[in-house]
Amino acid sequence: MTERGGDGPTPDFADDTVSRRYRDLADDGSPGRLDRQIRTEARGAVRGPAWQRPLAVAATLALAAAIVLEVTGPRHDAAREEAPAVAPATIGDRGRGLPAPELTPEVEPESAPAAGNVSRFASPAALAPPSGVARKSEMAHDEGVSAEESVSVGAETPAPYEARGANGSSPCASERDSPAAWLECIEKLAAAGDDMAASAERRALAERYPEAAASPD
Amino acid sequence: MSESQAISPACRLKYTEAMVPGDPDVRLMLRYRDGDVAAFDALYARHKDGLYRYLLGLTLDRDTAEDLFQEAWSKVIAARRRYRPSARFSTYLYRVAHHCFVDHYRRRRTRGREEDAGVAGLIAPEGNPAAETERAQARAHLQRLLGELPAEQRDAFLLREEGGLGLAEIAEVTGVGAETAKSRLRYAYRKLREGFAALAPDRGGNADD
Repeated sequence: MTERGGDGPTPDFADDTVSRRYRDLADDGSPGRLDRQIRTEARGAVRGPAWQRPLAVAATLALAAAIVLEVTGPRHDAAREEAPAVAPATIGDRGRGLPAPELTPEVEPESAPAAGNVSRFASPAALAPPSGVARKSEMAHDEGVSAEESVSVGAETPAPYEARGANGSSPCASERDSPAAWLECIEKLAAAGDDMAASAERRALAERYPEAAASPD
Repeated sequence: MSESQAISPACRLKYTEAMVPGDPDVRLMLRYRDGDVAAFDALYARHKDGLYRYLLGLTLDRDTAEDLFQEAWSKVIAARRRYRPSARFSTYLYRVAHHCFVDHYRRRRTRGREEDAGVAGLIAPEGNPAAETERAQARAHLQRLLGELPAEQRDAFLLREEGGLGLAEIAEVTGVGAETAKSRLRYAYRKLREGFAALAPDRGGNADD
């Protein structure tokens, strides 16, 4: 029994004799069966409902699987690569009939002023030496597209990877100041299976450091 | 309340904790609220028997008392996240139990079971009287005496004896004024004293100390 609150020893309305007699005869207490039930309920309330744990585990597993699939599965960029980046009509109107080189970097006129880092990522070719245009021309030729086509089509079809660079999220953004580091980053991309990003980085590298890109391996 | 007078929840909690600084049960309940199951075990051990006897004395029926006992603790458990100490824990616990009993009583009344106000009909049978011990008979007599008390007097008496509540706390739990609570207690003690005295000759003088 708990201590009484604030009435003093024995107030005038109470009677110690009655209290003693009552306590002597009162029942023993709660049955053990009830005690176990209530204690179990109290523990369960702290842990949460029984269905919450398996649900939490299942949700965690599902999330982990989704992340793994996102990282290792076919990339969205690859899907875009297969689809024409620009409506074929745009190219068809020019009478070329050639697939759009989706990753063609955006080339700005040489007279374009060099801007800050963000604009560099947006158009790495803008900062590339003039010889980079020549290199670009070679690469475009390898793909069966003239440099002029490449530049003009590329200007109309901003490649997804380059767009990522514009947001500052290029995987090799921080290595672009050093050809060696940039190449290493490209190799890592290739090793990770991100061929599209690696290819785009190689092109950007080729434009900026043509001598380094000559032998990427 | 103006903006400047607004009290943050943390401040309010500190205030209410300061209101009942000496109540270890409040600290146990706060620990349980924060996930400490051992604190609940300690709290439960301190109050389980008193609360059970309170409900048994109030209902005079073991099954009903067990149901209400479980219901009361379940409510305390379910409300643990909302628990804010505004009074001693025993006041809080017995208020919950009191409301469980009142709700139960109302439910039975709506079903037409008026015998709750009566006495003998709710006293659980104790088996073969011839085989009962003297203590068991005395216990049955106590139950009968309790049952003869009006429910509100019985409630006040049990809140004091089992819950250890003071006059103001009994008044708060039962929702009456302090004078009314005091009057109920006075009548309850007097009737029980008379009842025990009446029992004494049958017990060879053992019943009255």
